[in-house]
Amino acid sequence: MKKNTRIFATLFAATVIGCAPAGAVMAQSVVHMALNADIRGTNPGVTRDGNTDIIHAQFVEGLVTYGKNFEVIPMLADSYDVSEDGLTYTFKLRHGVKFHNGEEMTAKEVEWSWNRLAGEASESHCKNYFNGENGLKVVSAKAIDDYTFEIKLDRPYAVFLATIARFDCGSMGVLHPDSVNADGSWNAPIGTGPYVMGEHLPGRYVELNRFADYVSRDEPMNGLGGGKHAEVDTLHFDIVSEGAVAKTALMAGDLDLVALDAMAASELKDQPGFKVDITQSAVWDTYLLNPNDPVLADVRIRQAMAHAIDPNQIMAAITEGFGKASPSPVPPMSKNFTEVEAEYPAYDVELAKTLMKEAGYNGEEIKILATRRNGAYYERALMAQAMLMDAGFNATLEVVEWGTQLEAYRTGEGYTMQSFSFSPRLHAGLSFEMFTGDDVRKAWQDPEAIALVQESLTTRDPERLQAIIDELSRRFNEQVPAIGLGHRMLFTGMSDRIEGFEDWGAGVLRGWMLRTSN
Amino acid sequence: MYLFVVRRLLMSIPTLIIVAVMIFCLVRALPGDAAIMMLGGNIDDEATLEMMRQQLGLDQPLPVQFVAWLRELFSGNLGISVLTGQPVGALLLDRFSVTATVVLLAMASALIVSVPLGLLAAHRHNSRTDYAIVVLTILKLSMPSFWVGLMLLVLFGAILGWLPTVGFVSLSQDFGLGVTYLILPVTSLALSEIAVMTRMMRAGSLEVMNRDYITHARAKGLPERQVLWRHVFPNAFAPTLTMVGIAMAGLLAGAAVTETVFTLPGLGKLLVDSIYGRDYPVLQGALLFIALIYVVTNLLIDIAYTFFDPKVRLT
Repeated sequence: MKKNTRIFATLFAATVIGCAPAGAVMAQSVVHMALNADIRGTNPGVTRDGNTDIIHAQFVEGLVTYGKNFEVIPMLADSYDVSEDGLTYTFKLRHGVKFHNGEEMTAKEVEWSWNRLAGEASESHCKNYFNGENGLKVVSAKAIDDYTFEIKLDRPYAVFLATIARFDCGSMGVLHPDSVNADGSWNAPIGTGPYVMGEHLPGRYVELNRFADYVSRDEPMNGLGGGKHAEVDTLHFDIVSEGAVAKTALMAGDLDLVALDAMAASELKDQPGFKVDITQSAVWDTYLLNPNDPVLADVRIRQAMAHAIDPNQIMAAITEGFGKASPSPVPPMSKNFTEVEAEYPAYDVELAKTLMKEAGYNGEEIKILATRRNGAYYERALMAQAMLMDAGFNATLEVVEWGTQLEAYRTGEGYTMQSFSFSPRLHAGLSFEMFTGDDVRKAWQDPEAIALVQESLTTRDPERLQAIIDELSRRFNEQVPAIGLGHRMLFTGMSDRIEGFEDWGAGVLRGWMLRTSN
Repeated sequence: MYLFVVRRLLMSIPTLIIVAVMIFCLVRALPGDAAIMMLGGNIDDEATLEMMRQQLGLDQPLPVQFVAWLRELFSGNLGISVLTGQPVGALLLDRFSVTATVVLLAMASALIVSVPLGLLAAHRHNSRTDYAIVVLTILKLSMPSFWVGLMLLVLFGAILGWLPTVGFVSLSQDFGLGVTYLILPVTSLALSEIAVMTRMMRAGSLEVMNRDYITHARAKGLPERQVLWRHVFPNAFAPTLTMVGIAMAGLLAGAAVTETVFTLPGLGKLLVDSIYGRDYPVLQGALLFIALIYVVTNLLIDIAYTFFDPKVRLT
């Protein structure tokens, strides 16, 4: 609602009911945005989900973070060294970094923060990445002096820095110990980020206020790192679960910046007064094939399915022509994405039919599982079903609620193929690891592929890593454990008074880049 | 009446206990793992999942979980939301206050409009006025409430710019501003109820108008307005009142669609979110609370009958 009409409406309402007018005082420099669900809390790395991580990223920072091309870069660390044997990481901290309570950050707070998340008493799921549960064990993590922090590992681990930069762990965020109460319970975040956690009215809105004493890095902005020069005083997030409502609110002027679907973006992009940002993310949209389903035991059936589905048509349809197929699990913006990763099984219905015949396919059911969740899971499944049926497969579609689909994924039961997505994995080895392994839920259970993935996570030689990723890509296309579709397109609509916004592959909002023209 | 109310409330206790058992069983029968939802769908790590199950008490056998829940329930503690960490009791009351404000205003508006409209349609039976009212109510009943809500937002929010499209300000926070946030959701809900109640009132009035005592009232020369309001209305309103009771309880239990479209932090939205998020404490608490709403609403409607139908006695 426009400001003058909002005041009019308020005055009108107040007059009608015979009360003194209560005008809405709009703060200057506020950007109103929408979250499609409320945040789960303010405790980085503990209370989390996708939306919550976005809010946390505005007020908490870690020693390292992700750059634009998913490279790991220093954030609160000024620099870091890795010992020859790959077991000791030494972080030199930046001087003069201020917490939101005005105190200066030292290695003492870094050590406290590490133990908060990775220590034995931690309630964070992140501790399991460092306590040996998943292989890697951090032997020690301690402050050497005021500005030096050292972590020792029990084994070389190539993705260690990428692991501590994880969004879901709040980048192993550094907080002031006063963030918790005397009994150790959570109070409120006192971080070092460019925004301070403001008011959170559950179910209604979340507000973040600019941290005036934020000390920025000198470099240009880079991904979640580099220089951060926040100008907007308040970032206000309304909880708006329906995309159509968010779009209406944007058009009404009540919201300044919202995530859109492809159709809404297409409608809005040429309308005066609005801008639309279209960015390819690292979210991998795919069709997972169930390795436990006997129908798919013959590789020729899986290959036939891959040749029967045209990712280009589907991507064009679900993105209104803005996106194109990128079936490799490795996102195109990764430095490990080469012409090898650009290859994928060609759309060839005749070849699919030949392979089906050779494999002796006899009309066995191909049960596709999908959900109506945001992300075109259902639309992708529907189109794949039509294409599979066109090639002669007996494809059926079952639509379930997201929790039910996740349960099917976890147990490896109740589906032949499912329309699925994986959140961004910012290391090429992890892009394969997410669906490779011997657990029932993993689509790719080939022992050689598993060994290659494990090696990709330990090697520190960039050439060897590329060779492994290329080999995995070739095997992926031959063995077809999943049928890749593309990396999701992100559509953001905004008022033309918003400047500076630029999305990136990880899709995590960077509030500090926003500017308002009035 | 006092004894009647006390007896009815006491009788509702076994009902609520049975409901509690059913709720617990149904909620646990939901497919999907709450721990997975808690972790935002991150299920790559079995150790983390197990840790989350322990934190939620889901690693315990179902009977143990049930007894623990009942014990807390009888001590007045509905638990803590695993999604937001808020006490469930306070959360339900907070959300219910939003829903109740919208629903009570909508039902009151709907009654004010639909009762005279239904009487008018019956009074002018088979006239153009009657046809117009019937067609309009059918038209409204045919429109999905989601679409109507969205159209109201587009018209009054985006095109005319008169009213806010997102957010919510409670009346206690800022009365004047709060009213502007209530106009569209109340209108949307009221429109739906007007369509139903008008048809109900029209049908009831038509039936009453054919009775001998109405013919008698007219024959003795009473003005038509008196006939309608003094004789037709009280007798025709009883079936509508039953409808009002059912609709009111249903809406108080959560007008999820309206709350979603108008971004109202109400009970229905909370219930839907708790289902998707597998927030068991909130889900169980909300369902029990809804059962209580039905009990109380039905009680109030039974009491209200005595004002409209002299044949009804509270015993």
